[in-house]
Amino acid sequence: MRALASEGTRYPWYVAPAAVLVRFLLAAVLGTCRVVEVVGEERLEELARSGRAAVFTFWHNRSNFCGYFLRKRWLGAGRSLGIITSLSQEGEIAARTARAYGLRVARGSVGGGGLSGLKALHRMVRKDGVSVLSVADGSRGPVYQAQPGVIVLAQTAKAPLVPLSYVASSCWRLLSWDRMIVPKPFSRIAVAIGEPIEYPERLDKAEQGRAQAVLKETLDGLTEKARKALGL
Amino acid sequence: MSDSPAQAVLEILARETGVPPTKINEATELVGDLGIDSPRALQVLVEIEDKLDIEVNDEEVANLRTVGDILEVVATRFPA
Repeated sequence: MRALASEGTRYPWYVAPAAVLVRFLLAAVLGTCRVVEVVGEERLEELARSGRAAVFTFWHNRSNFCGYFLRKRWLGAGRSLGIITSLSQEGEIAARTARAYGLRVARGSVGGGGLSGLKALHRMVRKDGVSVLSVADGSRGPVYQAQPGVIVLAQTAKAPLVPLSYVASSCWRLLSWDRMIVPKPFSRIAVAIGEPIEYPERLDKAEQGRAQAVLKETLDGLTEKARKALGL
Repeated sequence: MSDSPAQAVLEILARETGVPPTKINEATELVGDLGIDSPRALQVLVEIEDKLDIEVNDEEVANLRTVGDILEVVATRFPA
């Protein structure tokens, strides 16, 4: 279990300009995309009306635009949003980028024995009432396999788990473990938001396994809905 | 009904892992001996926090390796 980054953690000089470059690229690429349809948009509105903090979840390879979308639609509407980023240099770049956008950031690891990261997210949701973003297949995969972490996070924080996905009319696939999807500039995008999932206070091992299977089906189904909405 | 905070911790660990309380001691490792992964550890920790009405801070969370580590944290909240 890794420690959370301390205030005094130092990173190489290029981390700060890299974070600026990432913001520029996000604006240049994702900022030019056009969201043409949001399937289940009313679910976001209902959630906002409820005043409850939520755990938003999506596949890792769709995290860039899902995060971007929620920053616009959730944070942009005056609600709070938080994430966790790793202690690596990449995590620091992500943290600086997220903070610049107004997201609350906790540092730590969620995958690979990352109790500290999960606990930090849990505190954000349950104690501070901040909605958080958390990938369903974890930071290391396997891709498209829901991990228990995000379910336990929602369950213990007594918060709804809100699945979402998107499809772009045109995209690049990076050579990362999850074949990260990057929409091409000026793409049309459809986003699909699922029904918030509430978990009981306790889940035994079998129930946990079923919950993971249902989450996978739900996220895959949302991707399919988004694809249909784009007419693909 | 638990007699002490320490006993409450052991009961929660036993219930969550299926390991009898008599086989859990301070040296028992959370991962190696009880097979607790991070999601399960979060469940255990939150249950302990709720039951004892305490909060475990980030630094303490990062240093939890054994049952003794948990008991030590709990002991700081309930000084004898």
